[in-house]
Amino acid sequence: MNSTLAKGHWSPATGHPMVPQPAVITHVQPEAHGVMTYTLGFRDPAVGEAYRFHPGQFNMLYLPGIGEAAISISSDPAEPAALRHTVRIAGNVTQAISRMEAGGVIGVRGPYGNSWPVDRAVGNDLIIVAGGIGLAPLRPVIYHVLRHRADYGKVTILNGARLPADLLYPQEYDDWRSHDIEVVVTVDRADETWKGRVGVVPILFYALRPDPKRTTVFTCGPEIMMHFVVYEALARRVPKDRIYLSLERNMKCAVAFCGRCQYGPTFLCKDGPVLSYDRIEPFFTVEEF
Amino acid sequence: MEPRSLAEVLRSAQLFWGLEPQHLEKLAAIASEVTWTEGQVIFREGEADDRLYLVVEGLVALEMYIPNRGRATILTAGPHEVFGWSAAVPVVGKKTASARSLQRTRAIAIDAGALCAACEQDHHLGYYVYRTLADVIASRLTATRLQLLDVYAVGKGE
Repeated sequence: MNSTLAKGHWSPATGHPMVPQPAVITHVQPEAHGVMTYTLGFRDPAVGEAYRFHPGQFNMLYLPGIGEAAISISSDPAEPAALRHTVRIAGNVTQAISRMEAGGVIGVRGPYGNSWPVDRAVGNDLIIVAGGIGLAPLRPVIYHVLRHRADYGKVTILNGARLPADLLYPQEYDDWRSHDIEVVVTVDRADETWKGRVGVVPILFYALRPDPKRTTVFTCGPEIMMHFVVYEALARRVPKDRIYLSLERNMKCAVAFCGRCQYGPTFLCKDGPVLSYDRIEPFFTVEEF
Repeated sequence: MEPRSLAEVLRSAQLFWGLEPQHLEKLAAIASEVTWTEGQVIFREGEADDRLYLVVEGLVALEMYIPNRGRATILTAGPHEVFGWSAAVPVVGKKTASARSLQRTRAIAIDAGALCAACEQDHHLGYYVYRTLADVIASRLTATRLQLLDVYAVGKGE
């Protein structure tokens, strides 16, 4: 590797940017059908000591002989020793991870990518909009807000899933609410036993009256969902540069070399995955982009 | 609830923000407050209920009955949301879904026949009301499309 790898995000806490560090699975928490949260601890205590991450960053998780997958960190940035990743089975790597139990070893390199601009949002009202597994990269933001609640105005979480059983982290909602955070939950489909909301996430905006001068929107979920979240936010005059999305593309190197995650003029592994809407507007609705 | 209070509640809903005071008063004059207990059926699919509703507090499920499968909730309406729009669209003429309160719910009921008449008499009001209803129906269409897309389905993985 050449010297450019020593700069900025190319110097992950795990050491050399292309060399995974072994981490032991200390706990596996089933979250929903095909979704588990893995708590990891680095085998090398020095790596664990040095490891820090910001809300929204991701790690490359590696299984020898199978491959790597970019997985968002879903835990509290203030507790980097309890490193958690919420994984949905979507391909070979995540399928293999899903078969692992506590005591298993995974290679980890990272953290990579930029982060949700929680500092820029200080003093603002926050609308956090998540769909499905999209709540995972937003949960570190929520933990940050819980720890710094006085730094933000009104905080609203709009969270959706396909079915009630697919909702992530439902056991934490009451704690979030106890910190003066409004948590609104909806599902796409439900039977008669579900007493909550039914409908897609973007329509939850209908009941909001955000002050556009002091509102920041963070959203992550299926891209088509985020299209409509952006639409609803813009309809309420939230500025484009205060609507942030976490985008997902297949990643390979995670150090801005291979170009696999190129998105217009940006590499999502380096410039993203969190981008403001004003930066991606020209490409966001382009098919196959 | 007094008509003036009804007008204030209507104005607090996002849908009626832009309505002028005299028009709000016209709507309030043909509106009344209704309350349902949890689990109460408000109207049934196919009925000719002649009111549309603005939820003030609580939650209402809009349901359709599927033979051999039972009732399915297709959407819920919470505070500041309208349901029962079909009462004000004569070509539809009957409720397109059943409505049931999921919790104690308070709403403003607007007499659809009187609303149509008021809109005929005052085209400015009519334009605003039907533009608002078009927004409601368009949002339902968009929401339904997203539900049909099944956006949470797992796609191609890593």
